[in-house]
Amino acid sequence: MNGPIIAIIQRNIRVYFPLIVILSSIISFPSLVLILTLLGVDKLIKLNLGTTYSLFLIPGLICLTILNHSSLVGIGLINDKKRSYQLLKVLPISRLSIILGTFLGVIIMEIIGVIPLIILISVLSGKLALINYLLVLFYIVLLSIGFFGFFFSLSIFLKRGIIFSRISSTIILLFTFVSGVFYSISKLPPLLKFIALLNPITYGADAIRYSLLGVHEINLVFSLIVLVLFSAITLLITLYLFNSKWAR
Amino acid sequence: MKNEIIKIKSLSFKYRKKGKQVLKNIDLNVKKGEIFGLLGPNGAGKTTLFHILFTLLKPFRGKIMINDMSLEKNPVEIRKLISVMFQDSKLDKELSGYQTLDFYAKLLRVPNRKKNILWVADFMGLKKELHKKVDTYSGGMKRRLELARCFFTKPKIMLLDEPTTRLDPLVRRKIWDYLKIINKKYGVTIILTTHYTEEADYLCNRIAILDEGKIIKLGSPSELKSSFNINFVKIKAGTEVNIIVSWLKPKNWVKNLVCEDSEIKFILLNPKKNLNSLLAFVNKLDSKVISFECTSLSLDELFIKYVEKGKRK
Repeated sequence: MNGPIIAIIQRNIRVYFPLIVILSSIISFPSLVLILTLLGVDKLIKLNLGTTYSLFLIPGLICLTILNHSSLVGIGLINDKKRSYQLLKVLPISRLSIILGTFLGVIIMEIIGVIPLIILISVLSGKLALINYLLVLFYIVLLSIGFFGFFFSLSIFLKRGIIFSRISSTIILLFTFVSGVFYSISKLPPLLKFIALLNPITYGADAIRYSLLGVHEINLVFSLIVLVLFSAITLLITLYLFNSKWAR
Repeated sequence: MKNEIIKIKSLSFKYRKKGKQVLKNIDLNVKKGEIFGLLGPNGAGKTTLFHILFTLLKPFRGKIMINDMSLEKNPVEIRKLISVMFQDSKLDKELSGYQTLDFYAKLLRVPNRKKNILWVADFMGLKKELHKKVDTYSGGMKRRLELARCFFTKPKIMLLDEPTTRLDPLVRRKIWDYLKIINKKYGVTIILTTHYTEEADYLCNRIAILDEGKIIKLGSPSELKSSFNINFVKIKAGTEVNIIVSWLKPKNWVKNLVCEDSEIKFILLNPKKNLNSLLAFVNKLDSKVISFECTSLSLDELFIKYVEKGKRK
């Protein structure tokens, strides 16, 4: 990997992921799962998928972590487009290096952010094989590209962090609420199920659930196609917008 | 001419196709090794011109050559030659001074990174605070850090957009001294925008006054000062005021003659031609003249006069 890409990764991790953010993402969701388990949520909510609700929830929380981090960097980029990123545009480095550095920085932090959840699921569910870890890593990368590309593109159109924050929190709420993050989509009413199937996070949560627990509700090949397409489209849109509109 | 490092020919720019022209048919050459100042009021088009030179905006019409390369055809090559400082700070307050310089050293593949960072920090007087967060820096330190970032790659050209805006006079003077050293010792061509006339006067070899997208005057500070061809004269004359006033009144090179108590003030037109006869007359009066003062226009007054003149046109 070349110098500029590594420099951008390091800078973005330092700027967007201060220790407090890393600690909160490492502690909050695993604690939530443990508390729910201790409170007996598995007895209260029964699933017909061959797994407990607390285990079922973890892949959804992995997706939610990815969404949160992506939106966080999106807010940072709103300020940055008139700051460091404007300067980056006039330096003798390629636009592709800037984009790659930015995406890779986010992907690394997404992976670090979800490690505690993966450790928790491997402890709670028993031993996981290497293939499970590789599969989940692959889906985390796909989802990170997709969601970060989405928020990166959004940050190009918006000028104020507060507006971005309002919009992104509404989007995150919709993305997670009408999806397979918190509940099985087979239990949703038909209209909500239809909407959930339009939502890429549903496919992400299902694919990660399969990677870690071996259970799924949607055809795996179809999920893969949706996630690859989602990531590719948002990445291309980001590249286009970065070259045409960004940091003017 | 070989000596010219930047050549701008018939440059026009507008932000939207049907929008107002922000730059109108600008012709400008900057010589290698000079400090060139773009002076102009707010909204004159200085920053727009700089953003075009930074390769952030494309000209609507016209041609720009930097180091004999077309800006339009070779933006990446040109970015290797130039170093830019924007009007507003581009520093990350979350990073330390060292991390900031290290980031740009890695981006620009600066050899002997650590050694170069320490050298430039020492040169800019930032060595002690280098490992402190940028957030804790004063305005002057932040500007010096930006200058260090611009300079440690040893660029051929430095483009500085209002480098001393919002700084106190002491810090401003310090930055000017750094710029003089960078220019003299290291031969870096510096182009800066400013609305401080004293900055342009102190630093620049040549100045262009830009107003409403047009260059209204170009020359060295002394050329510009003498271009209005007037001097301000103040004579303090004790009891002989009336003799002096009656001698001055009929002269067609005396304007705005005012006499208050024992002090006479007027504008001397064409001083090169008329100053000698005025001095001869004053000498004749000898001890009756208490003081005699003759000053040319300051760059500040000149700037205001040119901009006002442009507006009247």
